Amino acid sequence: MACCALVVAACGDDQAATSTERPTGGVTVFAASSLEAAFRTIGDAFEAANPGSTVTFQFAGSDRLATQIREGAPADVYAAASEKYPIELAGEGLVGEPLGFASNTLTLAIPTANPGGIVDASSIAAPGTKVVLGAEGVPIGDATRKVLGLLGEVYGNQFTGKVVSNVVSEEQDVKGIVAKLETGEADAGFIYVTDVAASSGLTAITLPEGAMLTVSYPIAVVRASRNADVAARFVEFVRGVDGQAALAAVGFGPITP
Amino acid sequence: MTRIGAGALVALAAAFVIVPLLAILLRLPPGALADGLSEPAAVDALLLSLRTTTIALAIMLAVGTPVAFVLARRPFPGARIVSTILELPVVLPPAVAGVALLYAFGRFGTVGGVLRAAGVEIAFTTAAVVLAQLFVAAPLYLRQAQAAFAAIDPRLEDAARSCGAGPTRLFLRVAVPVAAGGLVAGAALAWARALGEFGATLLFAGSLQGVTQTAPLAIYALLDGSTESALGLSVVLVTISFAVLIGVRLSSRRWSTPW
Amino acid sequence: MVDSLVTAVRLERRHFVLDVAFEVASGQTLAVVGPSGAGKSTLLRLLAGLERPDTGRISLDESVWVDIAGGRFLAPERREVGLVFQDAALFPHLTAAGNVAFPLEAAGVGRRQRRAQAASLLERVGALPLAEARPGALSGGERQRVAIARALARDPRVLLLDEPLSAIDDAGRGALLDVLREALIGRIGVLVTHRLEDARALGSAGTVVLRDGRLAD
Repeated sequence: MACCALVVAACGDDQAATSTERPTGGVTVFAASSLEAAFRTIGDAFEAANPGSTVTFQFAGSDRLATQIREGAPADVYAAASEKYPIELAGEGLVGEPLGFASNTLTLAIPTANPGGIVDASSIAAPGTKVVLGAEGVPIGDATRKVLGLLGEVYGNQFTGKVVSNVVSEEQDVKGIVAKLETGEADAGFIYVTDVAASSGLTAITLPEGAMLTVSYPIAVVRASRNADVAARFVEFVRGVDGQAALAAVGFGPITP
Repeated sequence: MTRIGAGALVALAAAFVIVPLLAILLRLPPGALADGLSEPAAVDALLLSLRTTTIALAIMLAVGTPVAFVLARRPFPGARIVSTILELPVVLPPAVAGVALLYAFGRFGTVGGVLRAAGVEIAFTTAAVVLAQLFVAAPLYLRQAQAAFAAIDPRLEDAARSCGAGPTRLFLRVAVPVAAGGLVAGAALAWARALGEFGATLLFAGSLQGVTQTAPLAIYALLDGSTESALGLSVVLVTISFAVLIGVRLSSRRWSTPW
Repeated sequence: MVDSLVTAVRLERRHFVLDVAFEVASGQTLAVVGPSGAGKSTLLRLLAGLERPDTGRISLDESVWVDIAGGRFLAPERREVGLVFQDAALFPHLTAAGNVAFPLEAAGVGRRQRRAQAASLLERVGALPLAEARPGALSGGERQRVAIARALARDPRVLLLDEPLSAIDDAGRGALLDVLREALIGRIGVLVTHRLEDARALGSAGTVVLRDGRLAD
């Protein structure tokens, strides 16, 4: 009896899944590390709004996630902290069209205890200051180099060279930079405003007007997704009212045109 | 178990190790190994790794050998506790080791604070790399060295002392040469471990080309962008590790001849 | 006045008590026989300084090696003793000549002189042809000869022998006995063995029995 009931129930579920408008099932979302707090909230809200759906996250550097998707990792959605990788992947036919869903702004961050005596962005050129940067080739590193170029225009052309000689470590992701700052080992580093908001014990130092850099965060459905319907729904949800509210709550800016 | 079944299991186990290593080679287009290794970041990383692991090895041998001897042959109250504590880093996750080192020797660490007052800062320096390597690798050597010393026939020690050898001579001229096989094997394995050190170094020393970016850190960094160099470095590290293993096998055969 | 080794010591372990007193004069050898476990090896280790008694005194003529009440305990390397183990206990990493030269090196003898003295010691025990051999390549009797030469290297006044003939077959026994007799000339000897015939052959100062940690005639 119990056995039969189970079979019937299973059939019923199956029919429901195919006939109803709302697709259900599990999706795996590969998202940039900086999205962790906002996406966890969004994930819960999405599951609540779509009974039967489950969202699993993997957070890492956008570049690393892109590599994993190229290697065939079972991702359904890719949300990156840079336009570069989603565009590359879309060109390779691995993901669908990337759509912007948030923006973020680079800032200078220091430990609140301020062991390096940082006053403003120009302070990081002072001899002996310990600066941590993202490595070249990773999104945070490339964005930081753009900002350093802009700062060079503000503070004079020797500025960038002085900062580079103050670099004590080049990190592969934002987490690495945040760790070095939170422990107070480094005096200053460049991360996103949302990273400062999410961390404990870090303070943002506003950059001069001409050195503000805002990056757009794109999201795309992975072509190989076995659950593309739910994946598309999740993308829609992130770009919708609930998703935008959760992103704004942790400091992300609006979708840039 | 049938012989065929057992053979299949052995083959499976071997394949589990061999296939991923071969996969690195297969991904590397011919000629790319040399190209990849000519990248300055790769060269700097290898040189730095060589330099730091040599220093770590020297410290390990100079300090670890007498310590292992005392623990193995001069038991004192609490020796086993000390021995266990010294083994701890072997089972510690490298990230924990890195955090622990940071809290001890970092700028605001227990020891680091004192050092800083004296004008010495360790974090982000090559010294931090050596410390991290020493922390994770030395226990491997200590363990092997203790086993090697413990295996010495106690009568040899008696013979040496009755021949007029004081503690230092006994240690240097009898204990160390007699235990040499085990000591060499332990040192080789510990060195290889130091060479592969990643997590603790990344957290404690950071990653800067030529200063703290050792070969494993460079692999991690080069994977973003310069994949060929990363693979080239990987091949070098795999080759070195393999050579160390073979060397240990051969040396243990040579030294283990009974007297 | 004749030199003599005067010993009166007591040592207590968990399941074992050794309580002995004896005196051996220069040129004499005391043979101690007893079943295994009677404390024979411990007795030699006490004399050599490898074991510390709980109470008692050991002196060689004017020189006090051990005086527990007086807080004196001479380290083994500072006692004038040579020790021959039952199984030779040669250093496996050194050649026969290297083994014999080891005590000389410890005594600060120069390299060239060390080599010459090691050769003459090996010759004395009939083992000169074995000089460059490693212990692993030697027979039991050959090893024991090298061990005797090593024990004689510092020209010790006291020679301690722990079952030196036990691992030797009957054919080699006679020759090795001659070597031991010659080695004991002019020294104080203490031989421990479980074989009465060895005790009779070498025990010029008589034979005593060690049983349950105590000596009896």
